[in-house]
Amino acid sequence: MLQALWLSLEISVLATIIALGLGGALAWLLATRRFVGRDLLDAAITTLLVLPPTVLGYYLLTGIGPASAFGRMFEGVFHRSIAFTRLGAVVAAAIGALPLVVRAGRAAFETVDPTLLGVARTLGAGRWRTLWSIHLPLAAPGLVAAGLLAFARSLGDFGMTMMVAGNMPGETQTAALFVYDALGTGDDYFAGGMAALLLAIGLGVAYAVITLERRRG
Amino acid sequence: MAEPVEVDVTMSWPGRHARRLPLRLSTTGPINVIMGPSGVGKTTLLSSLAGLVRPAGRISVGGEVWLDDRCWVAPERRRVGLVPQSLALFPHLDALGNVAFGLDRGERQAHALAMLERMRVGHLAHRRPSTFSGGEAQRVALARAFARKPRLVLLDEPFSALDRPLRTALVADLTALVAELDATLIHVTHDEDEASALGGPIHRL
Repeated sequence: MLQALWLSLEISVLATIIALGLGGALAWLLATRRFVGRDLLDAAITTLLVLPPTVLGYYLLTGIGPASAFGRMFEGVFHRSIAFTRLGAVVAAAIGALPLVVRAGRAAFETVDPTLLGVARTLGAGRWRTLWSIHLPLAAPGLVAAGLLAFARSLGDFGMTMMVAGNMPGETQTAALFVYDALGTGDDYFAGGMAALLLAIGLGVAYAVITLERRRG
Repeated sequence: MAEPVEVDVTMSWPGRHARRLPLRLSTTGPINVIMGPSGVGKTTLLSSLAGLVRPAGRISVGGEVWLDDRCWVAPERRRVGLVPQSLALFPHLDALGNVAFGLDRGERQAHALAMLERMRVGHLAHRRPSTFSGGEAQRVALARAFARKPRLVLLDEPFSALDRPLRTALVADLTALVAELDATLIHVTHDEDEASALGGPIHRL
């Protein structure tokens, strides 16, 4: 049980880092830039929220599985596969968390008064310095909330992880998969214990997000 | 020496409520006041001069073209000091950090502190904007705008929220700074008394 929980935490932390990096950049792009295909990109990211996890898992397997061009290339370079490994679980959790980060991150960037960014430019700061010195620090509470949401979403991922990484104890069996397995084998005590732990972590994260949003607003 | 400012631009907003706003301004002296009813484009004119919006047309300052069909100078290369109506002090930086933001690394802190003291708010150096009074915030915003020795200073109704004695004191400080730093001031106001106190020509949009 502890092994599954520890593995879940490890996967969730890595997935959160990836989702925050990629999702934060996409959020900034959508919040501050007008470009061709912007609405399409926005729609594609939102679609990740509403598609069934099995469908997402299917497309992810098609994209990075051993039969895909990317999967073969990755295996050729790193001599290991992504699908049905811990790395696959990280990728699945990161993709699941991405739309949450983009939505929360975009809101965080958009709440920063554009006049502050404009004044920074007139004070000699280029786009990057304005981003690092003004936009990012002022959006930081919202981005931290986005990271917390991504962590909670990664920790709770079930469908996509099962599809992309499988359910191998010690390798890819996360806490959510452990609950499913324990119920299946009649280990109600362990299933209940893990479910209570996940509930406590979820509640803690939700409380932290609400506190951060209140401070921000 | 005052830099002549020539603006002849048209700002367009596309979409369902499409709008075109022609803006013209021609100045020669160091102090210039802009007046006009709300919605006439005073703030848009300042934003165009600061480079924060990109209208169609031509802008030149001191004979140097900042905007035309072929060229557009980015805001960070224009050397303008902008004080918007909201002042836009960076809330996560203290007064010293705000003023030092636009300065080169060398004597950044010393120069920023000198500028704050010049505006009689040196005691606020290590305090954040949320703790400033209205008048203190105006002074810090002016110190920040003037610290880089700008060619052009753009003020968008900066004193509108202040009472008359404070406004008079700030106008006196402002005119002294413009003369001292040899800058060109474009000052938007609704207040006739403030406009006369500044002493420059009044351009009505």
